[in-house]
Amino acid sequence: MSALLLVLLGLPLAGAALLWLLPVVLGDRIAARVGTVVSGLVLVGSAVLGYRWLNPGSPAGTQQADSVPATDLPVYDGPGRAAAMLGDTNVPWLPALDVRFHVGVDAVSLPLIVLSGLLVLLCCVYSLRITPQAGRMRSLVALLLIIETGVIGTFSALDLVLFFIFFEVVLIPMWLVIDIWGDHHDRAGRRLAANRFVLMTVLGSAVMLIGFLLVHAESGTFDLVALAANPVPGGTGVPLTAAILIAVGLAVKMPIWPLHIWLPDAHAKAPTVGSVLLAGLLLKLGSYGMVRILLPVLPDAMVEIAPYLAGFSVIAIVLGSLACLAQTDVKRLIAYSSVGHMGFIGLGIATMSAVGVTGALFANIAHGVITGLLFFLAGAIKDRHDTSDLRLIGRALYARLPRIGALLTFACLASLGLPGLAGFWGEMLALLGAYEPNEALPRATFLTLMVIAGVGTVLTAAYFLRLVRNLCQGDPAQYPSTTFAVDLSRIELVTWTPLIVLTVLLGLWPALLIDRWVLL
Amino acid sequence: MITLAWRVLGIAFSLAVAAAAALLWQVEPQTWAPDLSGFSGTLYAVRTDDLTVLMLAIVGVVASCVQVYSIGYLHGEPRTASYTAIVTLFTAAMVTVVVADSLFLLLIGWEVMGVCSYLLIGQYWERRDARAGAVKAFLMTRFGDVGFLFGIFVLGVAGGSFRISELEPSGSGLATVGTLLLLCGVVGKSAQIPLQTWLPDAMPGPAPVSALIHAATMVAAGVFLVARMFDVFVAAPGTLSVLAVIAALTMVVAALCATAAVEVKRILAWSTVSQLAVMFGGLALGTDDGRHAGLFHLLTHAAFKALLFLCAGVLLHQVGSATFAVLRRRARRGVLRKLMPVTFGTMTIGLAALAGVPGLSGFFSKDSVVEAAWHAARDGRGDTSWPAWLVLVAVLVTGMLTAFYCTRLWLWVFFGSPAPLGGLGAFEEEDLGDSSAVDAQEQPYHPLRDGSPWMLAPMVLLALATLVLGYAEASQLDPAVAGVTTLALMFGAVPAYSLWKRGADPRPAVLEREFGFDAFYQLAVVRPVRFAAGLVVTGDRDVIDGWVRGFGKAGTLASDGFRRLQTGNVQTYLTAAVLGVVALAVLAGVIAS
Amino acid sequence: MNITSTDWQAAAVPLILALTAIAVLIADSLRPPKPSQDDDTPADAPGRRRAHLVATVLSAAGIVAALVGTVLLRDEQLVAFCREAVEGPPECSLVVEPLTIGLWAVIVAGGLGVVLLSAYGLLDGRVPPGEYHFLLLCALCGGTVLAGGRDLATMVIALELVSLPSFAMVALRRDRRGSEAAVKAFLVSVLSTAVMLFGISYLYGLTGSLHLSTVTARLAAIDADEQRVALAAGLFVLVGFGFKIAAVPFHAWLPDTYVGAPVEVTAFLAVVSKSAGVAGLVVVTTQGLSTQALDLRIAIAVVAAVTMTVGNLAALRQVEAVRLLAWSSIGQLGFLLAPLAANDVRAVVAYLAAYAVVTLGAFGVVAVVQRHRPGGLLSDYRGMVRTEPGVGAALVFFLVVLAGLPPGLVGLFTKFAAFQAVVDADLGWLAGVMAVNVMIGLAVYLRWVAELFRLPVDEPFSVDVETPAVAVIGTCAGAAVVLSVLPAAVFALAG
Repeated sequence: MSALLLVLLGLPLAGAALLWLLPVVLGDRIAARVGTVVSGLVLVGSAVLGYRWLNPGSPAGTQQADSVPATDLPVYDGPGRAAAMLGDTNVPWLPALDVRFHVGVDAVSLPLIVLSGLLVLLCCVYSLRITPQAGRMRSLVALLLIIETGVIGTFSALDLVLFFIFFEVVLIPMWLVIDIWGDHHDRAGRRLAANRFVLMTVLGSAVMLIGFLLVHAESGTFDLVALAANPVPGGTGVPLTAAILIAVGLAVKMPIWPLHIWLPDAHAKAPTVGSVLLAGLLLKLGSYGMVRILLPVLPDAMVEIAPYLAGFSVIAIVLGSLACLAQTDVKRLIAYSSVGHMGFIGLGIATMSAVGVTGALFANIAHGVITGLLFFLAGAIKDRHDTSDLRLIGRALYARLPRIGALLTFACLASLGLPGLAGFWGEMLALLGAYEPNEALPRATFLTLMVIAGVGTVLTAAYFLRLVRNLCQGDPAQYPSTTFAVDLSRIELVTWTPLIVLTVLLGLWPALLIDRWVLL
Repeated sequence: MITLAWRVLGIAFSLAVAAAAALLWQVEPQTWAPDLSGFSGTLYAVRTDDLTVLMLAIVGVVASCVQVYSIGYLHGEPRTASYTAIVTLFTAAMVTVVVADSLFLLLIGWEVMGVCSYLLIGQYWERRDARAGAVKAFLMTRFGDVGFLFGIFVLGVAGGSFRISELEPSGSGLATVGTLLLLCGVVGKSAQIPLQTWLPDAMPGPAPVSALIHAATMVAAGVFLVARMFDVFVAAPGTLSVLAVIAALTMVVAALCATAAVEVKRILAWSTVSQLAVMFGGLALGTDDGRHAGLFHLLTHAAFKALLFLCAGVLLHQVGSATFAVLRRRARRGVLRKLMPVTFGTMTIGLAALAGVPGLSGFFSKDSVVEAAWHAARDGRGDTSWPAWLVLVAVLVTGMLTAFYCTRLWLWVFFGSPAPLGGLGAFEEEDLGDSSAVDAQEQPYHPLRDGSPWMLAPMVLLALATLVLGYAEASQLDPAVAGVTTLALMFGAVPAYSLWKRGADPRPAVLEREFGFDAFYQLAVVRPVRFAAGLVVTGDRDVIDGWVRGFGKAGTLASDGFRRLQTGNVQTYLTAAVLGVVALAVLAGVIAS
Repeated sequence: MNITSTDWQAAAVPLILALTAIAVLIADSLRPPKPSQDDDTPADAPGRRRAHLVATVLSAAGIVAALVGTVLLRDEQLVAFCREAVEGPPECSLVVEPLTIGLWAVIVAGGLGVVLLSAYGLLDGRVPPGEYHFLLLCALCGGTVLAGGRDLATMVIALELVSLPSFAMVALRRDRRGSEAAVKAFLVSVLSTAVMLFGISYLYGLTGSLHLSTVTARLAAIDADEQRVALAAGLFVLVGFGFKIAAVPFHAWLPDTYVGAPVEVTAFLAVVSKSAGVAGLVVVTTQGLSTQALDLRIAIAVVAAVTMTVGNLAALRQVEAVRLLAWSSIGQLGFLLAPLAANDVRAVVAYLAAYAVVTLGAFGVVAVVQRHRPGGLLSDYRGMVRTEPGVGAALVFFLVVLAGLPPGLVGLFTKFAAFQAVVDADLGWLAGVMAVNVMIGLAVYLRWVAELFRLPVDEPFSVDVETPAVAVIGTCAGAAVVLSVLPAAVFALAG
């Protein structure tokens, strides 16, 4: 198992190296195929890991059972505590600085890893036919693969420094993706968006690193398993500072209002595959980090900052939804909707209750799937109209592109949290967690926040319906069908089907994941 | 082809539902949950009992009728496949709600219904009013559903289980809170005050869809839910009183709105609202025969309201519009009556039942509500009996108003007014809006015919149901109550007749504005939200982004500053260096002291 | 003073370098007499070539020998030029210990790189090879002595031995820009030496000794008023080194000098000379002036913060490659001083090593490109990843290492160590400044990286890269990659 995990980490890198070793012309031609093969293998590998985890014999299956607090602290005892790990590899890397190469996966990280494999694979498959104007597929696919490594690594790192490193791995590749393959109408804009993304994130992660170092100064180790076994006590002074720094660093990535400002531009300017990975995977690094690090390692300090985290998350929900109501660019709108959804995730984490965190984790997966689909659709619409401006695209998409319009409606409904589709459960559990948060937390505050967040769901519905109304519906007479537009090419169908299936499956059978994290 | 497949599937499914109802009839109540650990164990729990059977029967029959009717109604229109599919999904969702024992499963069906109604109301998305109505319907119900979700939290957490069968009614304050929150969802779904305005605006949807929504699925779900969780509600008398007040208010207000509406479907929509309120009135009594009466009314109402909407659909389909004015212009002097005998006959039956003409199903069910209310009021002691009195009075008043608008509708649509015209608010060409006058000119009258057999057959079936259903309960009919309601009927019908006789149709402005709820919401909700949205975007752009841009700007400015300092003049450098030394020395002094 | 005991092994490395320098000078003087005065007439080209070859081979051999010596001495604890102290252990002016070895390794290896870089073909035609290598070796010798020296007199001399040849090398091209740059550097250096001697004299007055350990010991005993004087004196000594390593506000000479000198000399300044300065600073602070009595940490921390901020900010908008590297090297220096403020020698040496490797490589690339695009603008590098994959990728890697992001893990780890040292020393505010500067620095380097990744616009130039340059760049890149995978090596340098 450990070998398999290492393969999962190394394979994409090898693929990228291979691509860059190929000559340019050949490389550009077969890049997407190579990427498809590699990421397909990665997906298979992660699926094997996932199988090991699903069958009850595996240690990770019993992870919930033995996650009994080792100390008498009010240890957070929900999902996310690194306990018995699958595929554990633990070798010293830099003894001078107490850095170890320690990776392993459990019930929390595995679904995210599988999701990473899936999304990257879909992006590569999509690139088989549909490519950005800039071309240069060789480098694009290679960068996607590097991003895959970074993401999987972050999800499996069990050493704070290693987490930090993988956390940073994705930065430069994504920066290049946005900068080179981004919106070809707006060179300056995409450059700005890319720089803003990478600079804000790197500042955040540097701040986070300081937090890690404070943790190390307090506890003398970077190892997450050890830290989960006996966390850093105390909710004041250094632990509190560390928690705040780490939370801020992760909040930039997540992003949580008001640190979200890099997100709309980055998503709007990035190419389709870039947006998909950015929204589907990169945002999850932040929320995963909170679940994996903040909750188990700094429980007391987390109790102190949880109300603020929840507050900002709820602000993000409401303001993000309101901002969506006033957007005129479909990709920006979906980007802002991510702000709202990540707000729910933040709220779930802040409840520090098993239910709430489970909701956050589920919402992670669901948001990855649904928003991935949404950005694929937005990309398709943008490619067909050569703009993502709603006013220029015109209305009555149902008449021009009935299938894509229908899929967009479906995705919107899923994203607004319709019960029976994937989007609902995470947000519901997050709210339920807010209804009865961790005993250490002020319940009244969380009840208030829960109500506000509930109103936020209505706003979410409002802006998605507005999108459908302004984009899909309308008098077709005023917006004649464009001749070039082909409705739902085969490759798009192939690419999107898995996401649609997952959306429905997770919606109708949430226990598939929920039962892995908490017994409701 | 696909359309055909979906139609077959849809009809088969609806019939299957009806058949299931038949099979489950007289089966003793039981619940079933898959033998799974964890969340899936609770999530998929289902149950069956009399209530389930009743609802399944209603849903099955009405859905079948609607599916068949739609074949004729949507003949030659686009998007029939998706339409049929969504109607089927709609039915399935309602079935889910009906059989669910787990609150979450119920919630799934509950919300999926909301979406289906949204999609079906927006079936004609080329039309502005259809788009607006669809969005309004979804958002209003969604707003209620937030409360519904929180209600589930409260009850489920308090009861330690999210299965209805395991919720033991506890008289605690939590129960009241939870049920009140549930009530939000009910009010939203069943279009009670204050969330009633979406239902009339949902009329641009196809008529069969309206029939489905109003008779069997969407709005009935609210009533069903209260009946399903009746024990819990009874355990929380506060909630029941609130429900009684809402119901009383709604039934009267909605009936008043119906008296002023000038479009057949809109009148029917308002009548639905008020009839639902009648059912809630019955439930709000908190007594068993109150519940029974409410459900009985739900049953009969399903029959005749579905029938009425199907009839309205025929008018809409054959004439092209269902507004009084157009109808009268196209078919003056009651020619409609002669050209569409079936429609006329069935609609007459439906209206009579709605008005509560003795002998028809609506009469019996409404009487049973009145009777239950009377008993509750009589038996209730002191402070606990006022809701019953309230309901009693409201139902009687509503009966009167219902009779009034039914008569009005019937006369104005099917009969020419005998009196010299020009009476107050009469419907004749001169007081038409020009637009309709124009399109009256441009499109020649196609010869009026009755609807296709696809459409007529379900209507006849429902008409029969309307005629006979009432006698299921006819045995325990209290003659006194019957007399009172009949009297109320007279009080309503006679003025309508005399007004029509004089060719007048007064419509008070407040009623035409439907008490200005919409205007209020526009002012109090929509505008502020729009404003806030603009504000947020501005804030993001000018405040937060401003900071970021500011930092960037500061960086470049500083950079340019340093470059400018780099004069290449060595004296400057040395001076700076010496200054630096001095500064450090000073710093040293500071540190030392 | 009477030297009591001397272990000549300890002095081996500086001696080798010094002897090589003399050998180079002799070999150069043995050249056949020239027909004309100026070297760069085509007529005499073969002669120059031969001379250059000889000089290169000689110095390379010497430096390699020195490097070997360093490696052989790695586990030793040697002293030289000791004399009996009045009390306590004997005072030795030259000490070989793990710290010394680490610094020597960096300095000597950097020198080797510079020699290879300036091997035949790259070196500007007007620079006389013999003198050039002689000066280079002298400076190297001075650097090694500086790293091993333990008394202030030795260190001042060594520092001058590093500096003066540098100015000569800058001016060696005998053109206006070169001489102007040299003069600037020289003036500033004179001032710095003056200030430093001033401080040293005060220290001597206070403690009656020039030997660091004795100074440390005696400083602990002085009273409060004297302590204030001691503090000022210590600061002045630091200022002296501050000039050498161009810490803000003593940095202004650096960009002009870097731009004025030939690229190879610039590489020398940025790698060898700067390493030497840092070495001296490390020795002085850690061995002598960092006591309870004389706490200079805060001063160093302030200087570090200001330096990194100013350097990065100024680099933010540069359009010339060399100027950008010059300013960013100032920023890097700030990061280097930060752990010094926390007395974490290991972090300092590790950072210095990583910095030396990638800076050398970067200057190698710059040298290659500037031979074909004399403008030296960032835009000249457009599309290099496509047109010159090897060199382009290497440059990208160097820049990423300087920025301290993956895949440049060695840069990341050294920055990480700096952060750790600062955080463990409770210098939270400094850590914050460093975090911000990580961002600014990234912005600086990304501008260049972006140019490299653009598609080439005009005729894609293909460089016929000379083998020595390739050797240097390749070695640096390889070293950087290896160190990224096994960063432990860097941190093992200082024991």
